[in-house]
Amino acid sequence: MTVKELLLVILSAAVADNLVLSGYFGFDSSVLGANKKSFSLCLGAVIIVSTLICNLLHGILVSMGVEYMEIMVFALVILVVCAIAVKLMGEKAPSFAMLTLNSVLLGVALTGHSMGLAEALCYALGTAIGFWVLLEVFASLRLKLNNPNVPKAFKGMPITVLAAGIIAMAIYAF
Amino acid sequence: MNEMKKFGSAAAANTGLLLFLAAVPAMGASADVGSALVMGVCVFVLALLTALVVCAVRKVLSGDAVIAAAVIVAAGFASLLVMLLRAYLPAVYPTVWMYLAVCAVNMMLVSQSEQGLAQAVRASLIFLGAVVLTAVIREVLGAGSFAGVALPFMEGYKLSILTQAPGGFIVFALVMAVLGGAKKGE
Repeated sequence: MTVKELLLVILSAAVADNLVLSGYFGFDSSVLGANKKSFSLCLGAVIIVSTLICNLLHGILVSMGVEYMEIMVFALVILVVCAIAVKLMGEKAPSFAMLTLNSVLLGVALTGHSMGLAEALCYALGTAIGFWVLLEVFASLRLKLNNPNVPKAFKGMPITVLAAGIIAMAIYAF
Repeated sequence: MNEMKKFGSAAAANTGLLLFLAAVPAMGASADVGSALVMGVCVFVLALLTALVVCAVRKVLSGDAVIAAAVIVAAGFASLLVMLLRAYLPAVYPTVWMYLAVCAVNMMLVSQSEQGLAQAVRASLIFLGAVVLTAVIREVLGAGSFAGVALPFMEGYKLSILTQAPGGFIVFALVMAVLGGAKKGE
């Protein structure tokens, strides 16, 4: 693939094909982790590393004829990479639960496993950038949604999900 | 890993938090009623089998090893269900398989709750109800059909956005508000 095509992959993964807003992956933890800067950095690094490892492992699994074990192997890889990331970051590390339970990790791994290595790396990078932007948006959104005019039934998660739907409509136009 | 156990117990006991954690597969598989039903049943089976095995494994292993075991068990059962879907329900498979794989990760959380099997069954039944309700609203109002059967009275009144990604967010938010509000009596 040319450099231009790889840049387009990054752009589409970050905006048009944003996994959170078009595929719902990672939405729950992106809202819960919105206020934590360390979360977006750590998650971005974990997305890139785990996608690369899963991409390589996919080739090995296919050559061995056991590609049906992909989900198990990818889930284990993600668990190990998250544990290492949390250890390396020490005190600044985000919650291990929030990191591991983030469905965007498995979503990117399963989407990018059949791509070439460079394309998978760009896809992971684009997803990480898009996720970081979304975390910033959700962080500022949560401040505005703490409004006494919001009906009781909608307070908290429902109004946040509704707001995400409106943001998704804007992205859908792409 | 104690935070995982606390999170799991909190999620299992709190319907609102549970629905929020189940948002990804619920929104992803609720574009039509057929996919939603299949997803709900698969999640129920997955939760039941994972909780059964993890309850047994917990007597032998401890600490972090239980989490690793829960991941392997849940992902293994999810792989099995994905293969069955691919073989016997090929029409539903493309919509559902990735979200079923994602459920395997969330199963790890449910298996960490103290009450194990009972909470896993309760959680998956709540999920089934929520995903089917979301799918009914999305398909009837968005596609003008129910379980693939066209509804003549909806002709000309379809809101096609409801069957797309933004519609999933909007309808699920309404379902969360209704279920959460009904529980609180509001």
